[in-house]
Amino acid sequence: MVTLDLLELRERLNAVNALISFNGPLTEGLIKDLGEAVRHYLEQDSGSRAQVMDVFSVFIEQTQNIRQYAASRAADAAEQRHLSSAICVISPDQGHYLVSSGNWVRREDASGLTAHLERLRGLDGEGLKRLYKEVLRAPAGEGATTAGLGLIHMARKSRRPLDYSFQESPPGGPEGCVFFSLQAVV
Amino acid sequence: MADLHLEASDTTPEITLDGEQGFLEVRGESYPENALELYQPVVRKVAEILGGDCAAFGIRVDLAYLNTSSVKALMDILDLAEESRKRGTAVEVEWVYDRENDRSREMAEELREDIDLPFRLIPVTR
Repeated sequence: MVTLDLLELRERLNAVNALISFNGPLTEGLIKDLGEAVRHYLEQDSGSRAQVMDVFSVFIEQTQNIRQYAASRAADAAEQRHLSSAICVISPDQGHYLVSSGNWVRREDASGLTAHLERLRGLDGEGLKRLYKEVLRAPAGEGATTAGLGLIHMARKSRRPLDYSFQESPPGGPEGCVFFSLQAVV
Repeated sequence: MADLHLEASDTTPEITLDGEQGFLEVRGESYPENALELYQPVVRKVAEILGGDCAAFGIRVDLAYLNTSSVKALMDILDLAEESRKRGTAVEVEWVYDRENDRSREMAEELREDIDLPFRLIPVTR
């Protein structure tokens, strides 16, 4: 019988004061329920109403992006489940909240994602607003998708340029995938 | 008699569309996973109404939160309305927001910047 050292797992999360964390396959219902919990906890915690909505909105965009990615890229139900599995952590940091998520992406998708994120990192508030409006008005299907709009929204809400990384799959981990992590400071 | 009436759900707004009376009302919050699925019939019906002999059309938005795909869908509707106004239909937009909801007001202000329509912001206390 495998015994999980739950205390050890918990200590890892407590070490960053994780307000809310989730690890597993994301579903539409789960995103809604977690989102409600996020709003509820933040309302208790401190945040101005605007900050609560900003954290909530970034959480929704991050998780819905993952679901959208999985739906569009998965070859079958098993891959959909694999690609829609995520780890999400929201933790406080000096008056702000780190809103982070991690999920598997196909290796061939990493460069496109990198290009998009690097472009966003290079834009200031005005530049991001202009890009957001441009993508908003673009005919559906042309250029960036609404996942692109979601990333721009996150970048606008984040106090720092969006932080991201790609990590190789560990030995025994899924092949053909890299682990994508994204963090916004809201 | 409404052409379209969708009850609100946890993540979707109440949507009422009436071609005869000439109005669209969207009320609540909007963050469905698939906004296209929800809004496409609305966009189609609005296009139909505005393409007919509609003299006046009012759009009333009362949304505390929209995910980006909902904003995109709403933009599609506002674009249709703007086109229709150029052709002579009297269209106007009302955006209702809770006085304490800065984000809703800001979104309305930002959308209003690029839409050539009478666009009123109406703060309410809730």
